[in-house]
Amino acid sequence: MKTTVPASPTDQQEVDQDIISRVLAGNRDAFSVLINRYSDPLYRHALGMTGSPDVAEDILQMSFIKAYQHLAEVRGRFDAWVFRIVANGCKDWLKNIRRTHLSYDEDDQPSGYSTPDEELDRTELRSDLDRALMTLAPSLREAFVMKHVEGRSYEEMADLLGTTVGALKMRVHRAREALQALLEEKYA
Amino acid sequence: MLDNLNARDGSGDAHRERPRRASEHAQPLSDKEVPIGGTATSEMINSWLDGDAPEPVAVNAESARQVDLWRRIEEESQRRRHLVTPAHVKAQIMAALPADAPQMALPWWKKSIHVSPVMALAAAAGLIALGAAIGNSMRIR
Repeated sequence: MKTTVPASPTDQQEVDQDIISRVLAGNRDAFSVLINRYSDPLYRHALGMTGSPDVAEDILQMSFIKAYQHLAEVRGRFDAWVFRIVANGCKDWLKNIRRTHLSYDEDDQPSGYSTPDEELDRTELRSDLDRALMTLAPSLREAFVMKHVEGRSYEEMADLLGTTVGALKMRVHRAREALQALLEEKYA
Repeated sequence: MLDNLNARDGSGDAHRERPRRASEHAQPLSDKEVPIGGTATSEMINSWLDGDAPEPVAVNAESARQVDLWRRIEEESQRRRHLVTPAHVKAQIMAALPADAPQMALPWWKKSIHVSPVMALAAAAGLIALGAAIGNSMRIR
Protein backbone atom coordinates (compact mmCIF):
# COMPACT_ATOMS: atom_id res chain seq x y z
CA MET A 1 0.00 0.00 0.00
CA LYS A 2 1.24 3.45 -0.82
CA THR A 3 1.99 5.59 2.19
CA THR A 4 2.83 9.19 2.77
CA VAL A 5 5.96 8.19 4.62
CA PRO A 6 8.54 6.52 2.41
CA ALA A 7 9.83 3.52 4.29
CA SER A 8 10.55 -0.14 3.70
CA PRO A 9 7.62 -2.46 4.45
CA THR A 10 9.40 -3.77 7.55
CA ASP A 11 10.11 -0.28 8.88
CA GLN A 12 6.56 0.72 8.13
CA GLN A 13 5.20 -2.31 9.96
CA GLU A 14 7.37 -1.52 12.99
CA VAL A 15 6.22 2.08 13.04
CA ASP A 16 2.60 0.94 12.74
CA GLN A 17 3.09 -1.55 15.56
CA ASP A 18 4.53 1.19 17.74
CA ILE A 19 1.52 3.41 17.04
CA ILE A 20 -0.84 0.53 17.78
CA SER A 21 0.89 -0.05 21.13
CA ARG A 22 0.44 3.62 22.00
CA VAL A 23 -3.25 3.52 21.12
CA LEU A 24 -3.77 0.34 23.14
CA ALA A 25 -2.05 2.03 26.07
CA GLY A 26 -4.70 4.73 25.97
CA ASN A 27 -3.27 7.32 23.56
CA ARG A 28 -6.38 7.69 21.41
CA ASP A 29 -4.94 10.56 19.37
CA ALA A 30 -2.13 8.36 18.07
CA PHE A 31 -4.74 6.60 15.93
CA SER A 32 -4.93 9.72 13.76
CA VAL A 33 -1.44 8.89 12.45
CA LEU A 34 -2.78 5.63 11.04
CA ILE A 35 -5.79 7.43 9.57
CA ASN A 36 -3.58 10.03 7.89
CA ARG A 37 -1.24 7.39 6.56
CA TYR A 38 -3.78 4.99 5.08
CA SER A 39 -7.03 6.81 4.45
CA ASP A 40 -6.26 8.03 0.90
CA PRO A 41 -5.70 4.66 -0.80
CA LEU A 42 -8.57 3.18 1.20
CA TYR A 43 -10.86 6.06 0.22
CA ARG A 44 -9.95 5.60 -3.45
CA HIS A 45 -10.72 1.92 -3.16
CA ALA A 46 -14.12 2.54 -1.58
CA LEU A 47 -14.90 5.26 -4.13
CA GLY A 48 -13.90 3.05 -7.03
CA MET A 49 -15.98 0.17 -5.71
CA THR A 50 -19.11 2.12 -4.83
CA GLY A 51 -18.96 5.06 -7.26
CA SER A 52 -20.33 7.33 -4.56
CA PRO A 53 -18.25 9.77 -2.50
CA ASP A 54 -20.84 9.73 0.31
CA VAL A 55 -20.89 5.96 0.54
CA ALA A 56 -17.09 5.81 0.32
CA GLU A 57 -16.82 8.23 3.24
CA ASP A 58 -19.26 6.16 5.30
CA ILE A 59 -17.46 2.91 4.59
CA LEU A 60 -14.12 4.52 5.43
CA GLN A 61 -15.45 5.88 8.71
CA MET A 62 -17.07 2.60 9.76
CA SER A 63 -13.95 0.66 8.80
CA PHE A 64 -11.61 2.83 10.86
CA ILE A 65 -13.95 2.66 13.86
CA LYS A 66 -14.04 -1.13 13.54
CA ALA A 67 -10.28 -1.19 13.19
CA TYR A 68 -9.94 0.91 16.36
CA GLN A 69 -12.25 -1.36 18.34
CA HIS A 70 -10.40 -4.49 17.25
CA LEU A 71 -6.93 -3.00 17.21
CA ALA A 72 -5.64 -5.54 19.72
CA GLU A 73 -6.36 -8.29 17.20
CA VAL A 74 -3.97 -6.98 14.54
CA ARG A 75 -1.48 -9.67 13.57
CA GLY A 76 1.03 -8.74 10.89
CA ARG A 77 0.58 -5.71 8.63
CA PHE A 78 -1.94 -3.11 9.75
CA ASP A 79 -2.38 -1.76 6.20
CA ALA A 80 -3.35 -5.17 4.81
CA TRP A 81 -5.65 -5.80 7.78
CA VAL A 82 -7.50 -2.49 7.47
CA PHE A 83 -7.66 -2.90 3.69
CA ARG A 84 -9.57 -6.16 4.19
CA ILE A 85 -12.02 -4.40 6.50
CA VAL A 86 -12.67 -1.71 3.86
CA ALA A 87 -12.84 -4.24 1.00
CA ASN A 88 -15.36 -6.33 2.93
CA GLY A 89 -17.33 -3.19 3.77
CA CYS A 90 -17.55 -2.38 0.06
CA LYS A 91 -18.62 -5.90 -0.84
CA ASP A 92 -21.28 -5.91 1.88
CA TRP A 93 -22.61 -2.60 0.60
CA LEU A 94 -22.70 -3.90 -2.98
CA LYS A 95 -24.63 -6.97 -1.85
CA ASN A 96 -27.27 -4.82 -0.22
CA ILE A 97 -27.78 -2.18 -2.84
CA ARG A 98 -28.97 -1.91 -6.38
CA ARG A 99 -27.92 1.34 -7.89
CA THR A 100 -28.41 3.02 -11.22
CA HIS A 101 -25.93 5.85 -11.47
CA LEU A 102 -23.72 7.95 -9.27
CA SER A 103 -20.90 10.15 -10.46
CA TYR A 104 -18.02 12.11 -9.05
CA ASP A 105 -20.01 15.33 -9.02
CA GLU A 106 -17.66 17.36 -6.88
CA ASP A 107 -14.79 16.61 -9.23
CA ASP A 108 -16.62 17.64 -12.33
CA GLN A 109 -15.48 21.24 -12.29
CA PRO A 110 -13.80 22.15 -15.58
CA SER A 111 -10.02 22.30 -15.52
CA GLY A 112 -8.16 25.22 -16.98
CA TYR A 113 -6.37 23.09 -19.54
CA SER A 114 -9.15 22.00 -21.84
CA THR A 115 -11.81 23.50 -24.01
CA PRO A 116 -15.45 23.28 -22.91
CA ASP A 117 -16.08 20.59 -25.53
CA GLU A 118 -13.18 18.50 -24.30
CA GLU A 119 -14.32 18.94 -20.71
CA LEU A 120 -17.87 17.90 -21.57
CA ASP A 121 -16.50 14.86 -23.34
CA ARG A 122 -14.35 13.97 -20.33
CA THR A 123 -17.23 14.39 -17.89
CA GLU A 124 -19.33 12.14 -20.06
CA LEU A 125 -16.63 9.49 -20.09
CA ARG A 126 -16.41 9.68 -16.30
CA SER A 127 -20.12 9.00 -15.95
CA ASP A 128 -20.09 6.27 -18.56
CA LEU A 129 -17.06 4.64 -17.00
CA ASP A 130 -18.75 4.70 -13.57
CA ARG A 131 -21.88 3.19 -15.03
CA ALA A 132 -19.90 0.52 -16.85
CA LEU A 133 -17.91 -0.30 -13.71
CA MET A 134 -21.12 -0.78 -11.76
CA THR A 135 -22.22 -3.51 -14.15
CA LEU A 136 -19.12 -5.60 -13.45
CA ALA A 137 -19.15 -8.43 -10.92
CA PRO A 138 -17.65 -7.19 -7.62
CA SER A 139 -14.53 -9.34 -7.98
CA LEU A 140 -13.83 -7.97 -11.47
CA ARG A 141 -14.52 -4.40 -10.39
CA GLU A 142 -12.26 -4.82 -7.37
CA ALA A 143 -9.41 -6.10 -9.53
CA PHE A 144 -9.86 -3.33 -12.13
CA VAL A 145 -10.05 -0.58 -9.50
CA MET A 146 -6.97 -1.85 -7.67
CA LYS A 147 -4.96 -2.11 -10.89
CA HIS A 148 -6.07 1.00 -12.75
CA VAL A 149 -7.38 3.47 -10.19
CA GLU A 150 -5.12 2.59 -7.28
CA GLY A 151 -2.16 1.78 -9.53
CA ARG A 152 -1.12 -1.32 -7.60
CA SER A 153 1.10 -4.07 -8.97
CA TYR A 154 -0.33 -7.54 -9.41
CA GLU A 155 1.99 -8.78 -6.67
CA GLU A 156 0.70 -6.18 -4.23
CA MET A 157 -2.89 -7.03 -5.14
CA ALA A 158 -2.23 -10.73 -4.65
CA ASP A 159 -0.73 -10.00 -1.25
CA LEU A 160 -3.71 -7.93 -0.14
CA LEU A 161 -6.42 -10.18 -1.54
CA GLY A 162 -4.75 -13.48 -0.69
CA THR A 163 -4.93 -14.84 -4.21
CA THR A 164 -2.54 -15.51 -7.08
CA VAL A 165 -1.12 -13.08 -9.64
CA GLY A 166 -2.46 -15.28 -12.44
CA ALA A 167 -6.00 -15.19 -11.08
CA LEU A 168 -5.86 -11.42 -10.70
CA LYS A 169 -4.52 -10.90 -14.23
CA MET A 170 -7.41 -12.97 -15.47
CA ARG A 171 -9.90 -10.83 -13.53
CA VAL A 172 -8.39 -7.57 -14.77
CA HIS A 173 -8.37 -8.80 -18.36
CA ARG A 174 -11.99 -9.92 -18.10
CA ALA A 175 -12.92 -6.55 -16.60
CA ARG A 176 -11.21 -4.73 -19.49
CA GLU A 177 -12.97 -6.96 -21.97
CA ALA A 178 -16.35 -6.16 -20.42
CA LEU A 179 -15.64 -2.43 -20.15
CA GLN A 180 -14.48 -2.23 -23.73
CA ALA A 181 -17.60 -4.05 -24.90
CA LEU A 182 -19.74 -1.55 -22.98
CA LEU A 183 -17.88 1.59 -24.02
CA GLU A 184 -16.54 0.95 -27.50
CA GLU A 185 -19.81 1.55 -29.28
CA LYS A 186 -19.82 5.10 -28.03
CA TYR A 187 -16.13 5.88 -27.76
CA ALA A 188 -14.27 3.56 -30.09
CA MET B 1 6.16 -5.93 -35.08
CA LEU B 2 6.51 -8.34 -32.20
CA ASP B 3 3.40 -10.31 -33.00
CA ASN B 4 4.28 -13.32 -30.92
CA LEU B 5 1.57 -13.02 -28.30
CA ASN B 6 2.75 -15.97 -26.25
CA ALA B 7 6.42 -15.18 -26.16
CA ARG B 8 6.36 -14.35 -22.44
CA ASP B 9 5.16 -17.75 -21.30
CA GLY B 10 7.34 -19.74 -23.67
CA SER B 11 4.40 -21.24 -25.53
CA GLY B 12 4.81 -19.12 -28.64
CA ASP B 13 3.20 -20.27 -31.84
CA ALA B 14 5.68 -20.01 -34.67
CA HIS B 15 2.91 -19.94 -37.26
CA ARG B 16 1.53 -16.69 -35.89
CA GLU B 17 4.77 -14.79 -36.03
CA ARG B 18 5.17 -12.76 -39.18
CA PRO B 19 8.62 -12.35 -40.71
CA ARG B 20 10.56 -9.46 -39.24
CA ARG B 21 12.30 -6.78 -41.22
CA ALA B 22 16.04 -6.54 -40.82
CA SER B 23 15.68 -3.02 -39.42
CA GLU B 24 13.44 -4.26 -36.60
CA HIS B 25 16.11 -6.56 -35.22
CA ALA B 26 18.44 -3.63 -34.73
CA GLN B 27 16.01 -1.60 -32.60
CA PRO B 28 15.83 -1.81 -28.82
CA LEU B 29 12.53 -3.24 -27.54
CA SER B 30 11.32 0.03 -26.07
CA ASP B 31 11.60 1.78 -29.47
CA LYS B 32 9.68 -0.83 -31.38
CA GLU B 33 6.13 -0.29 -32.51
CA VAL B 34 3.54 -2.92 -31.67
CA PRO B 35 0.74 -3.25 -34.19
CA ILE B 36 -2.58 -4.72 -33.08
CA GLY B 37 -5.50 -6.17 -34.95
CA GLY B 38 -9.18 -5.49 -34.47
CA THR B 39 -9.91 -8.01 -31.69
CA ALA B 40 -11.64 -7.04 -28.46
CA THR B 41 -9.08 -6.02 -25.82
CA SER B 42 -6.26 -7.71 -27.62
CA GLU B 43 -3.34 -9.29 -25.85
CA MET B 44 -1.23 -6.36 -26.95
CA ILE B 45 -3.52 -3.85 -25.26
CA ASN B 46 -3.52 -5.94 -22.08
CA SER B 47 0.29 -6.13 -22.17
CA TRP B 48 0.49 -2.38 -22.65
CA LEU B 49 -1.97 -1.65 -19.84
CA ASP B 50 -0.16 -4.12 -17.57
CA GLY B 51 3.07 -2.22 -18.22
CA ASP B 52 4.70 -5.18 -19.95
CA ALA B 53 4.86 -3.68 -23.44
CA PRO B 54 5.00 -0.27 -25.11
CA GLU B 55 1.84 1.41 -26.37
CA PRO B 56 0.59 -0.50 -29.41
CA VAL B 57 0.51 1.17 -32.80
CA ALA B 58 -2.81 0.41 -34.42
CA VAL B 59 -2.82 -1.10 -37.88
CA ASN B 60 -6.39 -0.14 -38.75
CA ALA B 61 -9.07 2.35 -37.80
CA GLU B 62 -10.83 -0.01 -35.40
CA SER B 63 -7.73 -0.81 -33.41
CA ALA B 64 -6.80 2.88 -33.42
CA ARG B 65 -10.13 3.63 -31.77
CA GLN B 66 -9.56 0.91 -29.18
CA VAL B 67 -6.16 2.30 -28.29
CA ASP B 68 -7.65 5.76 -28.06
CA LEU B 69 -10.45 4.50 -25.80
CA TRP B 70 -7.97 2.89 -23.39
CA ARG B 71 -5.76 5.96 -23.46
CA ARG B 72 -8.75 7.99 -22.30
CA ILE B 73 -9.73 5.46 -19.66
CA GLU B 74 -6.16 5.50 -18.40
CA GLU B 75 -6.23 9.29 -18.29
CA GLU B 76 -9.38 9.17 -16.19
CA SER B 77 -7.91 6.44 -13.95
CA GLN B 78 -4.81 8.58 -13.42
CA ARG B 79 -6.98 11.48 -12.35
CA ARG B 80 -8.82 9.29 -9.83
CA ARG B 81 -5.50 7.97 -8.53
CA HIS B 82 -4.81 11.42 -7.12
CA LEU B 83 -8.08 11.81 -5.24
CA VAL B 84 -7.57 12.26 -1.52
CA THR B 85 -9.81 11.75 1.45
CA PRO B 86 -11.84 14.91 2.11
CA ALA B 87 -10.34 16.64 5.16
CA HIS B 88 -13.60 16.62 7.11
CA VAL B 89 -13.79 12.83 6.90
CA LYS B 90 -10.60 12.33 8.91
CA ALA B 91 -11.88 14.66 11.61
CA GLN B 92 -15.22 12.86 11.61
CA ILE B 93 -13.54 9.50 12.09
CA MET B 94 -11.51 10.75 15.05
CA ALA B 95 -14.63 12.31 16.59
CA ALA B 96 -16.59 9.08 16.15
CA LEU B 97 -14.02 6.83 17.83
CA PRO B 98 -15.12 5.33 21.15
CA ALA B 99 -13.80 7.24 24.16
CA ASP B 100 -12.34 4.11 25.75
CA ALA B 101 -9.09 2.58 24.60
CA PRO B 102 -9.49 -0.61 22.57
CA GLN B 103 -9.59 -3.69 24.79
CA MET B 104 -6.59 -5.96 24.81
CA ALA B 105 -7.42 -9.41 23.50
CA LEU B 106 -7.15 -11.79 26.50
CA PRO B 107 -7.32 -15.58 26.40
CA TRP B 108 -10.58 -16.89 27.89
CA TRP B 109 -8.96 -18.20 31.08
CA LYS B 110 -7.65 -14.74 31.90
CA LYS B 111 -10.98 -13.01 31.41
CA SER B 112 -12.88 -12.10 34.57
CA ILE B 113 -16.21 -13.82 35.17
CA HIS B 114 -19.15 -11.87 36.54
CA VAL B 115 -21.70 -14.00 38.39
CA SER B 116 -24.97 -12.53 39.64
CA PRO B 117 -26.52 -13.81 42.93
CA VAL B 118 -29.34 -15.48 41.00
CA MET B 119 -26.86 -17.28 38.77
CA ALA B 120 -24.85 -18.38 41.86
CA LEU B 121 -28.00 -19.74 43.54
CA ALA B 122 -29.06 -21.55 40.39
CA ALA B 123 -25.62 -23.10 40.03
CA ALA B 124 -25.65 -24.18 43.71
CA ALA B 125 -29.12 -25.71 43.35
CA GLY B 126 -28.00 -27.55 40.24
CA LEU B 127 -24.96 -28.97 42.03
CA ILE B 128 -27.10 -30.11 45.01
CA ALA B 129 -29.58 -31.80 42.68
CA LEU B 130 -26.74 -33.50 40.81
CA GLY B 131 -25.21 -34.68 44.11
CA ALA B 132 -28.55 -36.03 45.30
CA ALA B 133 -29.08 -37.89 42.02
CA ILE B 134 -25.64 -39.48 42.24
CA GLY B 135 -26.25 -40.39 45.92
CA ASN B 136 -29.60 -42.01 45.08
CA SER B 137 -28.16 -44.04 42.27
CA MET B 138 -25.36 -45.35 44.55
CA ARG B 139 -27.91 -46.29 47.27
CA ILE B 140 -30.03 -48.22 44.77
CA ARG B 141 -27.04 -50.37 43.85
